[in-house]
Amino acid sequence: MNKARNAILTRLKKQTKPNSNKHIQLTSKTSQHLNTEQTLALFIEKLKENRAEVHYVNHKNWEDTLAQVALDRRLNTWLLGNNVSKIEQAGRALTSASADISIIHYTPDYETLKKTLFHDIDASITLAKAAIAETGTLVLIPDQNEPRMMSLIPPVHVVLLKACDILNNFQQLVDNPPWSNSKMPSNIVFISSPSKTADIQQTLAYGAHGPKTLIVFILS
Amino acid sequence: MTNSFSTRIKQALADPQLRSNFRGAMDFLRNKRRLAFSDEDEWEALKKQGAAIRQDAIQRLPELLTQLEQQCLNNGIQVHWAEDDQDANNIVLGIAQQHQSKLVIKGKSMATEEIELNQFLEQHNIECIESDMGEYIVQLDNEKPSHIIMPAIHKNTAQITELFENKLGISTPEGDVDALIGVGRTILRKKFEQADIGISGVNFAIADTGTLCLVENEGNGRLSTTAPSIHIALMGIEKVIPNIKALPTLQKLLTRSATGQHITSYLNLISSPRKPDELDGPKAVHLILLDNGRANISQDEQLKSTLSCIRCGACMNHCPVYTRIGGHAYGSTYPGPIGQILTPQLKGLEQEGELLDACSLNGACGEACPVEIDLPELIRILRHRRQVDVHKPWSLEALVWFIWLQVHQYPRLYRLTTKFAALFRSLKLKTPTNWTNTRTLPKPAKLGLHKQMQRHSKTKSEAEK
Repeated sequence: MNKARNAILTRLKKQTKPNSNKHIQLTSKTSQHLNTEQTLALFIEKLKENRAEVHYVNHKNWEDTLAQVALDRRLNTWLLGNNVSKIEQAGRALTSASADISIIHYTPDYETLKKTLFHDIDASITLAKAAIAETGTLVLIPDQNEPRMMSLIPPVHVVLLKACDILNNFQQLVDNPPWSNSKMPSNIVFISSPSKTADIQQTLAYGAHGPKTLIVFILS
Repeated sequence: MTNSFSTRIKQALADPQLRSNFRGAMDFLRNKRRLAFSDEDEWEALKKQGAAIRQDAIQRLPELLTQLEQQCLNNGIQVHWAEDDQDANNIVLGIAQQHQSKLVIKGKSMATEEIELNQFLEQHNIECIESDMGEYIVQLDNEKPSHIIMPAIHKNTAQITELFENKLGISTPEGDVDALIGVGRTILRKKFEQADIGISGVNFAIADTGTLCLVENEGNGRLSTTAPSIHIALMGIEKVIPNIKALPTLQKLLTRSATGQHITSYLNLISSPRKPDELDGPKAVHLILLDNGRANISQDEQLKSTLSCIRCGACMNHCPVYTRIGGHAYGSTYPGPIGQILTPQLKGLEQEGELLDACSLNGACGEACPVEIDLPELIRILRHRRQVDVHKPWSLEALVWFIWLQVHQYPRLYRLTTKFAALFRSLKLKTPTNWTNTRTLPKPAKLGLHKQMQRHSKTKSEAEK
């Protein structure tokens, strides 16, 4: 292995001049001058364009809307994370809305929960740490409380987002990220639509491998 | 692919279904891209930034790669270096054997196509299933991708419906794409559940944080890198970028150029395997850095911009030759203009030089490239090298151009030649080329352009008097 490494690096250094390392100006032209309301409006517009269902709700009674969504769509088995007070609230609202609704917490490890994850879950709820208005993008940072599979394997994925966490564009996010670059989280996922594909004759189809439905609750 | 390039081109041109599939797809993709870059100023600015980021990274490859390696190791990602396809395949095999793996699931990756990983693993009795819908379709029909972004672009819905019926025994309603995708989803979910190794490519690797970025729409990339207990990522050494600040520009250029999307459904940043307190994610992540000829390209001042490529496919979408012959005719992993410059550099001009013939130097690929690779110029340079290095100096083509040069160098000779051409214009020449098999040979005019201009200005000045 070291042999290959040395050989490759030697080849690469054959003629390399002292590095250029010039400063590259990175700008994002669009939507830099939006106020909070415009940013929110743009974000909602883009999310809807991307085929997500969007609810702009009051942070005091958003659980009622969630329970209604669960009843309307007959989503009975919910996958929830751990130790997040907003999610605990959601769980209580769901179970009190109907006796048919049950909650599974992602507490055991993936190997233990695997069969359930693949076969028994109707929907999940996770938090978004930030969002990008320009493209209608949610930024999730999975961790031990909200493992990676939660936003990936259930057919319906619900995301909670605080309206104040919406940024205008991607460049702003990386200039001031909700994570530490010196200690990167294991995984960061940007989600902009339900899973989709256009691999068959350029025809757009939703629900390729990941969630078929993406529902976003923006808390005022 | 045992036929020669020219035979494959003839076959492709004679297949009306194939041609209509490509025509439709290319028109669709070009239009989507045009709409995504409707702001000309923004396009120019982004392109400049993208080109600068990539050129800077190529210039600093040794530094960035060692930094990437160190950061990945710090994050718990195991790093392997592969000089060529054999090296890379053996590293994957070694990991698979160590874990007694029999089923591997793969997210879309052109680098794994380049090293023919599927075939290699199959020889060692390890099943390697493609999970991208397009790749799955292509694999089901024992084919290779015909496009680097949309692998099954050469097939239409009816052909895929028939394929599923024949190979899977599952019939779906005519023209029902949702049903076909549903079939793929159900079958592949089982594989995701069973597979113990997931393999992916890498769109960008961030050096200063040790982060692998994967761009996708389907979620198969995320599943391939999350569900199995081991994740192996294979990347060409040129895919490294210095830091995350470079990502927004490149992401915008990549997805808009490829499919006209402002962003894909998922952008997945992986920096570490499952940590002790975490509940899922792969228990081990391996990163394979593949050279396979790239380091040598980086040392060639004339050609190193080849490595700036971010694999968006815009060059093939805009290529009039690709649109007509499709991806398979090239017979190489990477088709279209980028394939024409990359393949001869990776595999040698002697072996792959004839790919360079399939170009009219119209320049469309160069204009479409989001990182300003001057593809037509690179094709021209490679053609020149092929002429000098590979061809005999006195080939027919060289002779023709030698005569052309003489005629255009000496005005007297030029006038004499045109005079003779006009004089003997009614003679039907038997040309030694195939040109006239499908075309009418143009007939020289009675008077050459110079003579005509002389007369024109003479009558004009007389009229002014």
